[in-house]
Amino acid sequence: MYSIFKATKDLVRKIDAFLDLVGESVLHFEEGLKLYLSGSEVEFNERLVIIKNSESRADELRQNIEAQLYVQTLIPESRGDVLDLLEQMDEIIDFSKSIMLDFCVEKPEIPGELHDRLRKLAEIAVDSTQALVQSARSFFYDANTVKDHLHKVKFFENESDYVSEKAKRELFELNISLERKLHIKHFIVSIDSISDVAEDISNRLSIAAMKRIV
Amino acid sequence: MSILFFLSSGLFLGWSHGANNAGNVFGTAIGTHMVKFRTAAIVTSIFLILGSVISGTGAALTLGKLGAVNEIAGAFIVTLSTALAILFMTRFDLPVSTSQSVVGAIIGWNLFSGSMTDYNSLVKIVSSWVVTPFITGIFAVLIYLLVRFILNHVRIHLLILDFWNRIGLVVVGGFGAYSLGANNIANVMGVFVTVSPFHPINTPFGMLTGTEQLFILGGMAMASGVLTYSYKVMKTVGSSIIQLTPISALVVVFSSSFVLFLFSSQNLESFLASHGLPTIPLVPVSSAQAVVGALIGIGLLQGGRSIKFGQLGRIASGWVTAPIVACFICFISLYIFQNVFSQKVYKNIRYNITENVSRKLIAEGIYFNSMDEFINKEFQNYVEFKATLDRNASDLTPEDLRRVIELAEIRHIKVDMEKIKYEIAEGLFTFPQVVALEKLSGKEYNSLWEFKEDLQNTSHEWKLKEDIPANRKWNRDVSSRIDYLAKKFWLDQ
Repeated sequence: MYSIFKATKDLVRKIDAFLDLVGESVLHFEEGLKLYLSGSEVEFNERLVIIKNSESRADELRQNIEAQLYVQTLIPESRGDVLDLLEQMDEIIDFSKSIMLDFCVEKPEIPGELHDRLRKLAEIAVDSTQALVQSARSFFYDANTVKDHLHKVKFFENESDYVSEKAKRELFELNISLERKLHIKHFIVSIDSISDVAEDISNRLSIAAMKRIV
Repeated sequence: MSILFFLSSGLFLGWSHGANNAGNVFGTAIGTHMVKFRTAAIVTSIFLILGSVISGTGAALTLGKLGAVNEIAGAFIVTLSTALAILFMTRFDLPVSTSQSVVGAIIGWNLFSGSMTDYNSLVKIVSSWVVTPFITGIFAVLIYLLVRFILNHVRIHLLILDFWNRIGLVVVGGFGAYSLGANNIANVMGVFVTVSPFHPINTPFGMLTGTEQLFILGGMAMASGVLTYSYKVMKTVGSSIIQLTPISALVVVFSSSFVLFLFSSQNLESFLASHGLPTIPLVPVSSAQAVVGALIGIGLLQGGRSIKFGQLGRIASGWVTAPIVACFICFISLYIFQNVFSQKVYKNIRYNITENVSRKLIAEGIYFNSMDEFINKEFQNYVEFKATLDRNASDLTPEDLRRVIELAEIRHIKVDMEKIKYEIAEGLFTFPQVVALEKLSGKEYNSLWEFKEDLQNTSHEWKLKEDIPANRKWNRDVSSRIDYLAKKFWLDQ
């Protein structure tokens, strides 16, 4: 019995570690973006390496958790919800990495007028993801408090929409070529999408939490 | 015919009992996928055997409800009919009560043999159908609310909760299986106790009495039922009435086991009484109905919309059908067994109000106008005697009528110490009880009450005490031992 309890504790630790990675990856993304905007290419590339490592560690952890949940037929009632949650949260890491990679490969020239907007957008993406991570932790520990964090995710998603709209308007008023505008717009939309993904996940999480409340 | 052949029906009943009733303890755990069938089956099997042997033999001389059946071939048919009725219900995935089915089959035997039917047992069955779900439902709701309150105020990880929930389900399931074995082994094997072919054997762990060997065999039969045929009933109990969450699954098994323990545990009653505490009234409760009651309670608490009333109706109709089917199969089988296989399926009990009986009745203050006409007049069976009394002794109260019938029963008894030598060696009687029996050795009696009276006059150790909760265990033990002796010493004619 002790070994089963130990295995369960180990699984709890793995889930916590996975959620930590999700939270950290958007922080790395935010830092990376700031470095890119400030022109520190070497340090930006270092961040990209870190986020790539985080992604592969998160994948490994998720697969490990999935296997353990299936093999030991744990939490039969919430297993589907938990696996969905982990997979979707993994997408946030993938998404953050892929935006960083796009910056690295495509090297978009961001006009100085938009730097603050993009920094703000990344900050909001971090805030919404952190609120989501907190609500996911609550889902595991105390389903009743999930909603206390979920409303924040919604709030940050609205904020993100607002800032991205502003950024797009300012972008298209600039006197630069249309292809450059479209190129930069792609990055604004991508960063804004992190908050959208967080909101999508939060909607599903609220349903899963309702099912969990005894 | 060999005793081993007759024993086979007991093993068959054990198998059906295991197959059907395991669902009551592990159904919800299986239904919510919290415990694997293999784990549930192994735990149930182990605890069924332990319960049968350890707790079942605690009342080693309890003959079970089948004690009334006075011929081994008759007991074979009663047991077989019960097993068939339970198997029939198991085929339809319906959980039923073994002891209620046994009573149904005994009524079939009573009808066939013209014996007296104790209508109290019928009342008990019917009241159990209503009382058990009601009490368990209330308990389940209270326990569920308590658990919900605790979980809403304690931060515990989903997986850790899941771990403890599983442990809880296995522990409570094991406890339920233990009670299931302890409470029903007497029904499965009790009737064979007096004719057990097993003698005490010495093992490295101590002496294994004949009864213990018989009960181990019964426990193993139950376990084989669980392992081979219990899955479908488990699924019915676990997921066909309401959709359960893992926590509510635990609440259901816990509340039903708790209610059974509180309201049917004679040991708890003795414990409370011996410590000067108020006792809980014992009411007829059955595990088959307890689990369903708990499920309904939880379902109603959730608003009632999730309860599948059609399935509930099917299960409840199964409770009614099982004893009736057992009664019907038993009656037909007895007819065939007696007339086709020329087997004696019952000892015909004759009745006679002898002068001794009439003196005893008058001493007890029982008298009816036409009593003198009955003196020394022999009646061939219960039905004839009862019908004549109904016609000619209408001034008797129902209780007095029962007493008249009880005292007038003719039973030739001869105290033969050789017949109980193994029981004495196994220490089933106290030393003063054995001394009293030895004093009566060789004596013959024409009725049970004369034997009982003589025995009780010989030693205080055979006397019943005042009927208060503190004395009930003593009275039960003494009565079951006297019944056992009366059966052992019973001469055919």
